[in-house]
Amino acid sequence: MYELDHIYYGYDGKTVIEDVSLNFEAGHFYGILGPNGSGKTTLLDLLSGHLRPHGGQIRLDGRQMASYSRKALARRIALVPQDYRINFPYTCGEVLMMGRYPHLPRFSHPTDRDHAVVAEVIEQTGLSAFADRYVDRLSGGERQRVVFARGLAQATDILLLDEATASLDIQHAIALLNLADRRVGQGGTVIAVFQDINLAALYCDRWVCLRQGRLVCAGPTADVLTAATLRAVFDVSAQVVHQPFCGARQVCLNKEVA
Amino acid sequence: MVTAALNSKRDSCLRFQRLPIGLLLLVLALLLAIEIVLSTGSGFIQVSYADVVRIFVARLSGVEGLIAHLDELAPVVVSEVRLPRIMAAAVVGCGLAVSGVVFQGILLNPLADPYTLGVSSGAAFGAAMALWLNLAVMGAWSVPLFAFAGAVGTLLVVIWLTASSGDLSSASLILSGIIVAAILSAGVSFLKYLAGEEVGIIIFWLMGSFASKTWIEVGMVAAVVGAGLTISLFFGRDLNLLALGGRTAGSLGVSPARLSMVMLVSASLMAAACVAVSGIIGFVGLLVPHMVRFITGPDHRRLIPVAALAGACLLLLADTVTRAMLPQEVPIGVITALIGGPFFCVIYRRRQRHRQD
Repeated sequence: MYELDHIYYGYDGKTVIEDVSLNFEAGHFYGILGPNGSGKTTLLDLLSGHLRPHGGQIRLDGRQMASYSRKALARRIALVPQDYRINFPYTCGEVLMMGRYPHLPRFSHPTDRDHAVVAEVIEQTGLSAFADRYVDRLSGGERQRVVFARGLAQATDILLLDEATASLDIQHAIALLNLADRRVGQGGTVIAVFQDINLAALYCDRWVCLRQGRLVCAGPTADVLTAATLRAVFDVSAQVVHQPFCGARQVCLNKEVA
Repeated sequence: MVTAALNSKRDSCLRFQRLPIGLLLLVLALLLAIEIVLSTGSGFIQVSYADVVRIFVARLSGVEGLIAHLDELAPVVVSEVRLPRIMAAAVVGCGLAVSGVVFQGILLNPLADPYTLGVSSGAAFGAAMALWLNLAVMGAWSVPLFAFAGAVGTLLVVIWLTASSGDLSSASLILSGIIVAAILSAGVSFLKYLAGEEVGIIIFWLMGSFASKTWIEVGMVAAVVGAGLTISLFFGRDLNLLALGGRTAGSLGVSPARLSMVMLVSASLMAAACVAVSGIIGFVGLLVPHMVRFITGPDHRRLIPVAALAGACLLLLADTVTRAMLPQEVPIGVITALIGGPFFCVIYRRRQRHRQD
């Protein structure tokens, strides 16, 4: 689906992404991991089309990213950012409806289908009680759920999550990631930046590890998620064990740092 | 108990916000029309409201027979003296309100107003320059033209200054605006000092007035405000997305940098045209968006058209009060600040209290 060919990105003489070549295939849950400042968010911005690479090429379904209009990209790719500030007193329902804008001509009213999609997402995300409330009066975690739901309401086949559950309690994080996972089951693709290694191990069937803007390794989680990888990427000592309880590999850390 | 009360308050507010937009606009348009007739009738020479309507109809349809029975003075007073002033007040009110909505929407700052980028200081400097030099080159046009040029020049400098920091972020725009405005205010003070005994003219211009506006001036400001309003309405939906942040707006199909630039320039030009014809009228651009947002909610597709009409109604009301009701004409800029300031304090306190709930 995505083909990244020797991508380079930098500003002010500082390299953020250096010589990354990578393919993303449809129907997988990708986790992007790496230490702070390793270029994870920049990589997502390049994939969303928000940033253009300064070198190399990104193709989406064989076509150059630059050849798509912003509107066309917005119908295929949704981004859930980490930042959940919303400055004006929109209701949650209104914010979710903004996710439908790319599907609607500029001056037209939402169709029945748009209302149905929004209603379904509100139901799935458990936000029914919030639909008529003002977003700027919600707590940070509640607002983060609204922002996540807005991304789902965009109903795209590619969903980019930028630490989208970082400020949520674990119950809501799991509930929302389950919804993202369901999209993958239906043929969609999720590419998510994670800080939490174990959540990433639980949900992602593909891992991409970055360090200082370079690709360290990428591939099926079973191959990539090893103690050696974690040492190479994060400089930590870890034990990676398959946990029957959750049906995935999980990471156990000790206090040692390099 | 408390939560229930709060929720019901919220609901009543929402019901308010779900009023059909067409109904709101119709009510405001009717209000504006009534205000225009009432305002035209009142003043030093009283003209009955029926006669005002007759004169309107006669002028618009060309059937002069309708007003044949009237005193010769009335039609002249109405169509050459009062109406241009009234239309100027309405158009400027509309322009300042829409410009304020756009500035608050782009800068994501509810305290932004049409003058945030120093447009008013630039216009003041240009006008003061023309008044001080006593420029008569372009006749009556020299002051508005200099004011407009000053405002546009300031806008360009502010954008240039901001662009050098790499992006069009809210903080750097506001900061650049403050820097440039501070320099220009010093320039205006210097011109006032140089003007010596003539300083009164400059001071009076700065306070704003709609007295002795001509149809040509109305036409010019209406053209700029009309264009700005059309552009703002066109991009209304895109403005909503900016509230979600630049990255998210980008992922929803809008180029945040390009949108900000287009809207900043058109809103500033609207403000510049308004200041050029009427002087500096504060608080309309700050207050009207707040009041209207309370009724329509923050959705710019509703907010912009309603604010346009509400701004026109309010400024016309203020100008009518100062022209026809007060014993002595008070500069309109002083009126709007005197009424708007305390009102803003009330809104602000209320908002802060809501926050704490």
